Amino acid sequence: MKRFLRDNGLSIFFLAIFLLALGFQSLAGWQDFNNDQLRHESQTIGYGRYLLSSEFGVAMLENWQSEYLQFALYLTATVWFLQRGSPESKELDNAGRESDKEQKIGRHADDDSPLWARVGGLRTRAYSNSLLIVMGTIWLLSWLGQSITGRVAYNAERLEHHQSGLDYGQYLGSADFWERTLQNWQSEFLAVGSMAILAVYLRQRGSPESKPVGEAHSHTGVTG
Amino acid sequence: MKAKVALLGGIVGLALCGCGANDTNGAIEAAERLYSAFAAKDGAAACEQLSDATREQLVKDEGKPCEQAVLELKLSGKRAIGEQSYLSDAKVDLDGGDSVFVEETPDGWRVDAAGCKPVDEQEAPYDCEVES
Repeated sequence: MKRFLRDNGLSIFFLAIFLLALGFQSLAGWQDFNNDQLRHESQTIGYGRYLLSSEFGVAMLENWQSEYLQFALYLTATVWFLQRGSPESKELDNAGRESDKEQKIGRHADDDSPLWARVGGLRTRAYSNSLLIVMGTIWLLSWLGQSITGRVAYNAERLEHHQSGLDYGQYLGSADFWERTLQNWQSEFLAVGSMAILAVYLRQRGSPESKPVGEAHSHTGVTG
Repeated sequence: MKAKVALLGGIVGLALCGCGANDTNGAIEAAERLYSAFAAKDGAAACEQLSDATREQLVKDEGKPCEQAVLELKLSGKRAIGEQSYLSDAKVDLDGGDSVFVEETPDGWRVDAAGCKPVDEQEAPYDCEVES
């Protein structure tokens, strides 16, 4: 057990704080929703109903989709784009997908390489892009979820103001959908961009996301 | 792999399950009861279907008791031919051309606006005979 916790501490830590944050978000969101209901002299709802509501769904999914887009884009961008001095970047002469030997696939795989890295063919191609495929799929599904739940939440507000509801196609072109989407995208892009450039000049001792404290600013692709 | 499939399924399920599937029958019934009471010239029964805020606004606008003012409205319709429902708000379309906006209150579904017709501008609120 101790070993399991030690070997998986990073994912366990983030899973734990994710669940805590989601739990507290749901409580705050429920309270906020009911406060708005009271302001409009409408029916308040119980916690269980709120958890299953589109209000909670869109609040959660609009953030999920932007996080997974951030990672999908970062995975793709870091294949081709470089940042001199950043530990987030590959070395300056190494842009691109790299050779089979460098990537240890097919006949260049080690004995303990994953099976799909060794077998070649379609399976190796798929595995070579598996991280992007999964991140991209989760992004698209959560963005789809955001659009569905966002339409319900937005239409509830429109009906409250005696306007007609929007059908799905109309909602995809609406300011509400794109404001929700873009407010999340801009913050994600800012965060990864900041990390890429700040890590050139700043350090965090002991983190693999940082260069070693004494590493030169100009050295690229070096981690601590 | 199984965990990833479960996660994806959870995302889609969560997205679809909260799609505003309420007890919309209550909204339709409130709208139809209002219009039935209006047709039967039962002002008291008609006023019971209005939300508190709508009732107060009607009295304030007309300067008469609700039971009297509600029967002077221009309402047209009897049966619901369509409805949209999202969370605790609904819009019921009636066969006479009127739309009715209904909301879920602590007392059940109540009419928030009645005798409503769309205006030319899509983003503008409906033009209603009575509203909160």
